[in-house]
Amino acid sequence: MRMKRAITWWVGGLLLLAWALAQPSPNTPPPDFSPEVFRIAGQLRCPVCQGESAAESNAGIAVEMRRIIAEQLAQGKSEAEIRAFFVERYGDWILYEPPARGLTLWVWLSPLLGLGLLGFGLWRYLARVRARALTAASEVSEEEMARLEAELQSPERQP
Amino acid sequence: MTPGLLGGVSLVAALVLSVLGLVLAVLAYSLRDGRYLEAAKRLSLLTLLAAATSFAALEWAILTDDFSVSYVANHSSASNPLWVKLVTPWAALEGSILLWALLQTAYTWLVGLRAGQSLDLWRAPVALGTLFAVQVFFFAVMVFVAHPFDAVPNPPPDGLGTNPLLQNHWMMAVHPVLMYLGFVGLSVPFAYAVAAMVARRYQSWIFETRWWTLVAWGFLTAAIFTGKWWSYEILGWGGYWAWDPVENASLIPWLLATAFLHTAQVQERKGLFKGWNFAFITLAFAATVFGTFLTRSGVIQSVHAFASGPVGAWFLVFLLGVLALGLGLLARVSSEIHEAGEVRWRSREGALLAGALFFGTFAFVVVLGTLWPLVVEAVSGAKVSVGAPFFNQVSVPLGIFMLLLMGIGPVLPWRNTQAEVVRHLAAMLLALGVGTLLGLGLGLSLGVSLAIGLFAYNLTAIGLMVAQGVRARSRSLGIPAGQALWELAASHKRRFGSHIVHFGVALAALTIAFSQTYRVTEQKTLQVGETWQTRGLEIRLLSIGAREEANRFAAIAPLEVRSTSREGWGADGRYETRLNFYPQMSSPLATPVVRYSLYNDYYFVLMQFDQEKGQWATIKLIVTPMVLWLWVAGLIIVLGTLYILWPAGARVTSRQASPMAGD
Repeated sequence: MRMKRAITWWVGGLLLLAWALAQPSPNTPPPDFSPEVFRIAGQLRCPVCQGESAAESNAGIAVEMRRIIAEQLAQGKSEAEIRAFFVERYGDWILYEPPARGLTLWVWLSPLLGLGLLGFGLWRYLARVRARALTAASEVSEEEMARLEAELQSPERQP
Repeated sequence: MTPGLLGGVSLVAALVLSVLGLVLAVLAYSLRDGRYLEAAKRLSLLTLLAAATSFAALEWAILTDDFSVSYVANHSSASNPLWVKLVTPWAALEGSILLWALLQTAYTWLVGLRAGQSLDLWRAPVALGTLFAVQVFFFAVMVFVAHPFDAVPNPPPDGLGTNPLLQNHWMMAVHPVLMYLGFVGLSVPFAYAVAAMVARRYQSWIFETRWWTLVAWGFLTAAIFTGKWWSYEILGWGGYWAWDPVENASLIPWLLATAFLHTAQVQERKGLFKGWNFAFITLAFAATVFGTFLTRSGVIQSVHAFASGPVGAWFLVFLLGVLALGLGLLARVSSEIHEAGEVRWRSREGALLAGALFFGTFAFVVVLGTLWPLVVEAVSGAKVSVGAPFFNQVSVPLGIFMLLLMGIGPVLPWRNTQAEVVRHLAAMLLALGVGTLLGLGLGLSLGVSLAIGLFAYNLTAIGLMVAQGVRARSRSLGIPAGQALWELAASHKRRFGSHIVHFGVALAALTIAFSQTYRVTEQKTLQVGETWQTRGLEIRLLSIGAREEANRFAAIAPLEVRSTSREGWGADGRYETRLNFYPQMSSPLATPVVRYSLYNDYYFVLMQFDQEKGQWATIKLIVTPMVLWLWVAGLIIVLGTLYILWPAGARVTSRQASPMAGD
């Protein structure tokens, strides 16, 4: 059994090696990339991946994107120009940083929006609490009395 | 008896027992009869046993390579090493729900054990009933849509194997379990909150769930840090946090639970904020379900979505149910919660509320940013991405405010500000200024310099508070300072523990600023024997080889690295970069080699190699400063939490029972 398994694995391994050797990508080394390439690629989405940037992914298209970025940097293009190049082809979707206009402006406003909403709620709550402290200083409401009485009655059977 | 049969039967048993438990809890509540409650508590143990049996059956099926069980056939393989088999139950959807349900039954049982002592007959049935209802949901999901023990009519000779990404690192045995322990743990304070609202006792639950919330928070924190570490060591892009939807899904409950931990103190101390606390804990628990919905439904694409399946709609309904229960009850009782008092902004409670405000805002931003692409697509049909560059930018100002508050809060007294406090604040601001200027003087970026300043500021705050307490104690009791410190640390565990946690957070913020600002990635193709000079390093490719392993095949390119200047300090040594080929994966998986030093991390990835003659290899180098200290910070935060939770000795307890006098 063990022998058989070992043989299966050898065959499997050889097949894998053969498969690796038969990869469609030509056996030429990829170009060298400077830190700048990865920095720009990190802001672009890898179009075929599950939520990875073009800097992280090893998918063919991400590798190609890094190559294009390196090429364009070598041509002396600026970061903004390179980004525009990709936006032209894929739309704003390719940018991990949503543009601050239209519908995605709301995302940029979300911290202020959240702070404003929560802050307003808190402010109103505190104002009410304070008003109550000033007016109904020591009065106990009827329902509170009723509740107190209910709570003082012990349950029939304690566990 | 086959494992499949045993597992299936015990699953149904757990479902039936959970339904019964829910019925008994309802009876106990409506009839006010302790006997039903007692029966429900005993049932919770039986449910735990049934769930444990089911889980054990799954392990049994995996360990014995029983491919007649669908889960094993789809997610395991006879050739997997033992440890991979042991962790396979949570490597895919059905099994991970089983683990979740098992942990839920364990928590329910523990609550049942304590319910007799601390909970009365009005609240105990409601709390237990809520937990039983949660269990009913999980077991129903498994029995009806995601059955781990479905039979395979013609069992294959071998399974399809476990997801290679998940068997590449031993963290698989740790991180998911911690995450579930944290997620499930939040169900307990939620259940207590529901009980409090049903029984209309709005104050005491906050004391009773202090321990539970902190346990859940500690597990969540540990899970987030171990998750960061895992993705750093495995994913090969040199980062630890990508603002991926699944990562966000774990951060949202953590943020809300953190907000709750802080506002709960205001309620403890001043009896205020009751309604808000109900809302916060409901949202925190709902966020765990929301996160699971995101990861399991396939609504959102993610690198970490390992376990998607047909359960999305179920989780959505459950999420709405949790929100309806918590917020519905709150709407019903909110007119009745009469809170009266005054909050002074320049006091501890003011800082706590402001802190909660920022945590809540942060959670809001993360939720909105994660969901916005869906909203935009639904509204206009356009596709947009909201990713790391956005979240990184918005979290900087939020983080700065939170770090400022974290320093001020504990320094401020509950009552009005005193003269001594003003002196402390002056010292802290001085530290902030000196630290920032020091950073700028060293030529660091403004953000990183500010992070140094904020670290110094928080360190000063903690130091001043501890020194003040020690001085007062040693003077009044006439004991040496060391003994006073020791006694204070033992008798004020919450306060000291929170100092430890805050120190960890300040350190984490510092390391995040450094590593995010100064991470550098480079890639170069080297011939065998060639040397690459960069970033103070001299990197030589030694050879290219191959290795056969039990469940994979590996291409290996060892590197010899020498540091040539201070920039590459600590990098010397041999690095074995490798590409792993798994039979069930179409492309190879790169496993990075990381060497930590006190400052820089050196991170090498084999990207590609000469498959014909073995003459060249393409190497990616990532240098990141201070990542080691991020893991240290995570450890400090978790240890600080553990310090608060650690049961106090009898002598200390009696002292702690007196109101926190030294605060």
